[in-house]
Amino acid sequence: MQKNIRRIAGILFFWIAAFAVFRAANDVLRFKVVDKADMIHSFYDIEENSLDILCIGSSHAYHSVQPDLLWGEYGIPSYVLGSPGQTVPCSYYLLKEALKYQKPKLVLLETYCFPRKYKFKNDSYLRQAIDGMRFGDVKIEALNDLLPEYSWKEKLSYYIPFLMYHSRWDELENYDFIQHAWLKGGVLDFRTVPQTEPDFPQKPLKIPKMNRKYLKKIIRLCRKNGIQLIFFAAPFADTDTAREALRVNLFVEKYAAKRDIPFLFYQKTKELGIDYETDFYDDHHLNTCGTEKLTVNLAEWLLQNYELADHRQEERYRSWDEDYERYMERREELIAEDARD
Amino acid sequence: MLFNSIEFLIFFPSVCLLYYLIPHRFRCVFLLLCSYFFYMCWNPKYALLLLTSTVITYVTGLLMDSADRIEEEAGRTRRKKLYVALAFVSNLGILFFFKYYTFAADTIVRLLQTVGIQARIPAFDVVLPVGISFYTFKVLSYTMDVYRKDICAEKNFLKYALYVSFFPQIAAGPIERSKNLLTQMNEKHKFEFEKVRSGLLLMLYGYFQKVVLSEYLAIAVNSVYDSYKDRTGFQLLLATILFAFQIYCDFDSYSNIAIGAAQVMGFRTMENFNTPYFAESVADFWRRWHISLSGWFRDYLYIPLGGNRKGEFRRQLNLMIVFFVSGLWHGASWHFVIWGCINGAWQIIGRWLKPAKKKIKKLFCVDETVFSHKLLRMLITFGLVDFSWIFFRADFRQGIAIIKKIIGVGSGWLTWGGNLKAMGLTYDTLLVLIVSMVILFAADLCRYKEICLRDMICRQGLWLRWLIYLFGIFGILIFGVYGPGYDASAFIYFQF
Repeated sequence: MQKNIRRIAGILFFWIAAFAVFRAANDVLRFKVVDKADMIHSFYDIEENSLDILCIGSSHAYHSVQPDLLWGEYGIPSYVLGSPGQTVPCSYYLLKEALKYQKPKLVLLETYCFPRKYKFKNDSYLRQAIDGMRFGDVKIEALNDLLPEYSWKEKLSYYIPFLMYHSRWDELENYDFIQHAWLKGGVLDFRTVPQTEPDFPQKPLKIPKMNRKYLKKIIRLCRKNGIQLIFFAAPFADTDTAREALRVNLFVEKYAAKRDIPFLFYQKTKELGIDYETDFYDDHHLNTCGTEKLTVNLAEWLLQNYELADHRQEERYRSWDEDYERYMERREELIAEDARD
Repeated sequence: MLFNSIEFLIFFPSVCLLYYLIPHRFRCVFLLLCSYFFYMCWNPKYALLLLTSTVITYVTGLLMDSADRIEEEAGRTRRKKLYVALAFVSNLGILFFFKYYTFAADTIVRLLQTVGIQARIPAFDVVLPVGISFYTFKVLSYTMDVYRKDICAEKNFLKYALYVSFFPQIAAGPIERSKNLLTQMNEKHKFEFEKVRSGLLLMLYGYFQKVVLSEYLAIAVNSVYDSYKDRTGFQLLLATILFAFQIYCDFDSYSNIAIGAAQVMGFRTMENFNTPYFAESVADFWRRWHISLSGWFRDYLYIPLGGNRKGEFRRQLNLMIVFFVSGLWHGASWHFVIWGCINGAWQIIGRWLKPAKKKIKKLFCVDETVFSHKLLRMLITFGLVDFSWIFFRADFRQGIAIIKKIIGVGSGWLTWGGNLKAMGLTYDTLLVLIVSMVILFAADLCRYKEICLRDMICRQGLWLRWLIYLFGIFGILIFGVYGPGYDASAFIYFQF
């Protein structure tokens, strides 16, 4: 009997050890967005119920809001739960998942993805949004909705991304081993490509029906959780998709007003003072110069309109100060590098 | 349901768990249902063929048993021969229709064309049922064993059906003898920790052979053989050598997983490979390669043909017949027949050269016991066997073109880096391949020296044991070739 108990305990401990090794291997091997903040996965590193602001959306979201700056300058704890090409359906499920761990006062939703007529552009974009999500009811619901044609076997690698990424062993870099969520979903990149400002269109373009359905779900989810939803549109340069996005944003103005949702239409108000020669990373996204302008402006507006406490003196946010210091150090390094070049 | 599929990784532990939990009297029925479910995962319709073969040989077995009670010898023998013929004709008929009909029809049409006759033979679009060659040989071995009175006919249909359809062996063997497995159907298997652990270890090694070794080797071999016209002689030579290991790892992996899985459930099954590339002659190779099939041909074809009892000429003829049939068994294509005949021919030539070899050894005072001599014999055997593998992997025309290129090696010997890339490998994957090959060699060497590696591992202290298990599991999980974008390639021997 004692022998059997010993064996069962042994088997149990072995599988616990195996699971620990699996988690470590999974952490090293999983796909990471190089130089970005490893947005979705790192979200789980944030202490539960510590965020006041959650920002969701596509690359335009994480190229617009800098959580470290919001913290360092204003003491507002925030996180950008963004992913490249994130669509409204993906944003809905990411928000739903995030609310299992955080109770933010405000949710900022970037509108660049509103004109998209698909639930996800391609597998790569879907994986960057979903793979980082923990396995659970929301992930199951999301994948059932986003991949209705897939069999359980085809969906398995989304539930267990290790099945997909185990073969990364021959492309591992230093950043695969050292991970820290110090950017909190934001991006730090001063690379500059001069752009031209797009002409402002007159005719609005309706948000596609599918997106309106998911926006309804997002609005309902926020209301249910007592969260103030805010739409914002980051500035972008003159491209075909940008012109379409601008027209949709004209529609969003009315759509948001009808539902009492504030909409920060920066390209229309021009209040950021964006310089198209110096503030863009590429033809779609702001660089850190532009991001900082937007973040400061956003913070001022938020403080004017909502009651957001300054948490900088609180013990539980000690690590946020360290992250801010790291942000500033890295910022200086990048500026110095730019000056040298 | 492939052994390297996620379904099997769910199916097998569930079956084992339930197998040990349910009372002994229900286990046979339970395993039978599981085995049919396992088989039907490929194509439910083909379970009917399996059932047909099972019923025919079960009934003929019982009839032979009852014929044994006939007192008159001539009548008894006549009856028994009739029943054996019935079992053979019906089973080989099914096998012929599903596996060889198109090949035979095509051959006949071509032959008639050569004498100026245009013939049309109706074509049937049939898919080869998984494991048909394996289970057909299994049921025929049972029939012969009953005929020879080596065993009594099994009265319990369910037990016999389980013997035929036993899921670890149904798709690709080993072609288990009824003497061994059928008798175990009555045994009460208790959960024995050591046996289960040993079985799981063997399965783990099998997975390593398949998911890591065989798959990496397949990348290199396929990339070269699929475009052999554009390849250098060196690349083709290298790919041919690698193919020898690919097919070994692929088939041995299946056998190891099958044997291990059976062992986890308490069944002892026969071994199928015994370090074949340590063989010192082609005959020795065939005693070590696919042992269950070689044994089948020896007992049910070579010996009934007269074996080596009817003079040297008949011996050589019998050998060629066996290898001709063995080639056909492997595939309905002439290149498999050529492959089989080459293996038969090597053995006959070996016998012809025996006196000359003896003289040379005497002349040079060769000490046959030294390592260098053994090694030379192993290398020559490997070369001969590997030469025949060319016709296993490629068809006749391609095989000849590949040999011509290998013999005419002129360029490409010094461009190693280029070759590596051209073979679909990187330095990293090559490193994994080399380490894996070293593990394979070490494991085979232990087996050759009759050291049971599994027992040795199980005797070690907890920390080392666990370390080995974890290295094994995570080595496969990380370096294995699987997951999305990977077409879980069937085991090579499935097509037979």
